[in-house]
Amino acid sequence: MDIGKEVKKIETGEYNIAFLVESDTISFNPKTLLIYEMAKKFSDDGKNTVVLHENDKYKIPSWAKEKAEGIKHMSLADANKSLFFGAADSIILPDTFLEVAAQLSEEKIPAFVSLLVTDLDAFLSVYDLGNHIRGYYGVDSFIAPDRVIAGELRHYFRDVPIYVISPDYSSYKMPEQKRKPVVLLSDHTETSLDSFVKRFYARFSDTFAFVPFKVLDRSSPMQMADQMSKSACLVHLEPHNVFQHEKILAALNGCKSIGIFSDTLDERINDDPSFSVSFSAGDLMERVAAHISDFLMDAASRAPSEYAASFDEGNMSAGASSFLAETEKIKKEALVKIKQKNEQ
Amino acid sequence: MNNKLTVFISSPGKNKTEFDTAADSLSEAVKILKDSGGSCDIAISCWESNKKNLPNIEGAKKIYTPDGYSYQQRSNFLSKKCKTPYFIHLEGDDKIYANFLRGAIRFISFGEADIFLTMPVSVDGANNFIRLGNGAAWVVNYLDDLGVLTYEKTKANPFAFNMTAAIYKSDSFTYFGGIKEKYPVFYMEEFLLRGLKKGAKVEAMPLISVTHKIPDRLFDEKTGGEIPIHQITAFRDLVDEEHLIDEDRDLALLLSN
Repeated sequence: MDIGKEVKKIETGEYNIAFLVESDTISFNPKTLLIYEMAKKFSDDGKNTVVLHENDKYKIPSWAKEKAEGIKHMSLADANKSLFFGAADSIILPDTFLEVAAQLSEEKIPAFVSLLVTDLDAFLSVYDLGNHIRGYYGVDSFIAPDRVIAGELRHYFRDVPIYVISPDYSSYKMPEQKRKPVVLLSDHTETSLDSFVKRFYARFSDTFAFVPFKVLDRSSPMQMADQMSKSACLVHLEPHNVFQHEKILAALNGCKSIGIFSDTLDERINDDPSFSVSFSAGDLMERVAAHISDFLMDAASRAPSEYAASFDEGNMSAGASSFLAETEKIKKEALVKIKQKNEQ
Repeated sequence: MNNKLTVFISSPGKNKTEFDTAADSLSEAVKILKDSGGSCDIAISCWESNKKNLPNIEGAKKIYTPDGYSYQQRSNFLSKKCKTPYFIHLEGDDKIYANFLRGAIRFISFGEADIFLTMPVSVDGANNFIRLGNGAAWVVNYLDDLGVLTYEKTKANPFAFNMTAAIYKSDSFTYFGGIKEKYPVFYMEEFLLRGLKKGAKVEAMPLISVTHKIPDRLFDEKTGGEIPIHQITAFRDLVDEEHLIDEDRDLALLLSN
C-alpha cells in the first residue's frame, strides 16, 4: 500500500465510498432510504460514490427511484472485478451485513468500514458473542439514524465512534387533511394484532366498538405518511418496534405514537406530546382508548410534534458532512501513524 | 370576516331555565373558538309569546318563531334566517362540548358536504351514557369511503345514524326541501334519506358535539306523549317510502290506528 498516495486521496477527496444495499424489496425499507440519501449527498459533494447491490440483476424499488437517481449503481459481482479498496476508501454496510464486515476484515481489505445500525435487535441477532466488533468484524465506526440507537450502541460498544445521520423526512410531510378515528397498527405479527384488537373491542364494546383498526401499509414512505396524516394514532405492540423511523414519520404528520415501554427509550420522548409510552398490553389498550377519546373531543387534526422538528438536529446533510470530515480525519491519522512507524 | 357557521339554539321558551344548558356551554365553546382565532354567528330563538324567557347570550341574535312551532318547523324557519354557508340547530337542553365549534369549523374548511354528521353523546333521562352517535360511519367495510354515507348503504339502516347536532349547508337544506313538518317522528332520518336520494354529500365528523337526551326524541308536541312501540315500527317502515316523496303528507292519522 502506498501510504502517501492514500493520504493524498483523502486530502483531495478523491476516494471511493461504497454502500452495500440489501436485496430489493417492494415494501419500504428505511435503511435503504438512508443509504440512497447518503450516497446522493456524497455524490453531490463530488465523492466517487457507488451503491453495490447484492443481486446481479438488481432492481431499484419504485419508492426509491427518485432518491437513487444520479448515483452510480453496480452489482456486487461486478464490483469484485473492477473495484479495489485502499485505506482511504470507505465501505458502508447495513447492520444485517455484519458477516460481510468480518469477511472484509479477514481478507485484510484496508478500507474504513462503517456499519449502519437501524434496528438494534436485528444487529444483535447477527452479532456473535465473543467476537470483538473492531478486532474480528473490523467495524471502524457505526452510523445510527437517531440518537436513541446511537445511545444504545455507545452503551455497549464504547470504543467505536458513532455518527448520527438521520433520513430526510421533510418531503414526506403531507398537507393537513381530514383525520379519521382510525387506529393504525405498526406490527406485523398476526397473533399480537388479533389479540389486541379483540381485547380492545371486548373492553370498549359500549363506547368504541366503531373504532377502525388498520395495519400500516408500508409499500412506500409516501403511502405511510398519507395513512398517518389521516389517522388518529399509530400503535406499536412490540417493544422493539417502539422507536424507529415510523414514529418520526408519524410525528411529522401529526399522528400520535403509542407503544409499549422499551429500554431503548429516549428520555426526551417521555415528555413529547407525540408519544405515549405504556408498560403493559392492558395499559396500552387504555391509552389508545384515552387518545381516541381526546381525539373525538378535540379536533380533527393535531399539530405536528415538536419532536419532528428537534429530530432535525441530526439531519441528513449535517450528519453526512460531519461523518465525512470525522472519518477523513481518523483515516488520515491512522495512515500517518503507520507511516511514522514504518519510518522508525 | 365572513363566518362559515351559524349556531341556532331554539326551544319553545316556556320557562327561563329551558335554555340554560345550551346557553352556558355555548358561551364556553365560543370563547375557545375565539381564542383560536375563529368566530361564528350565534342566534337564540323561542316562541313569540315567550320572549321574556329568552336569555341574553353575548353576541347572540334573538329570533322569535310563531307560537306552537315544533322542532321541525323551527328548523325550517331558522334555516331561512341563516346568513352563513352552514348552520347547526340545537335545542335548549343540548350541552355543546367546549372544543366542538373549533374542530367543526376546521373540518368544514377541508371540503364541502351538504350535511356533516357529528358524534352526539346520547344519555337517558337520568343522564346515564347510552352511546356515541354515528359510530356506524367509522366502521370499516360498512361504507366505501370511511365517514362518507351513501344512499344504498344508509337506506339499509337509516336508524344507525343520528342527526342530532348535524351541520347543514344552508342552500342544500332548502334545495332538499327542508324537514317535513307533518311527519311526527323520525323526520330527521326521512330528511337524511331524502337528501341522499337527491345526491347530497353526507359526511361524518369525528367530533363529539353535544350531549343529547334520548327520551326527548320520542316525545312530540303533536302526540302529547311517548309513542307506542308498534307505531314506531310503522313509522320506520314509512321512512322507507316517504323519503321518495317530496310532499309533506299528513301521516298523523296512523298514530290512532
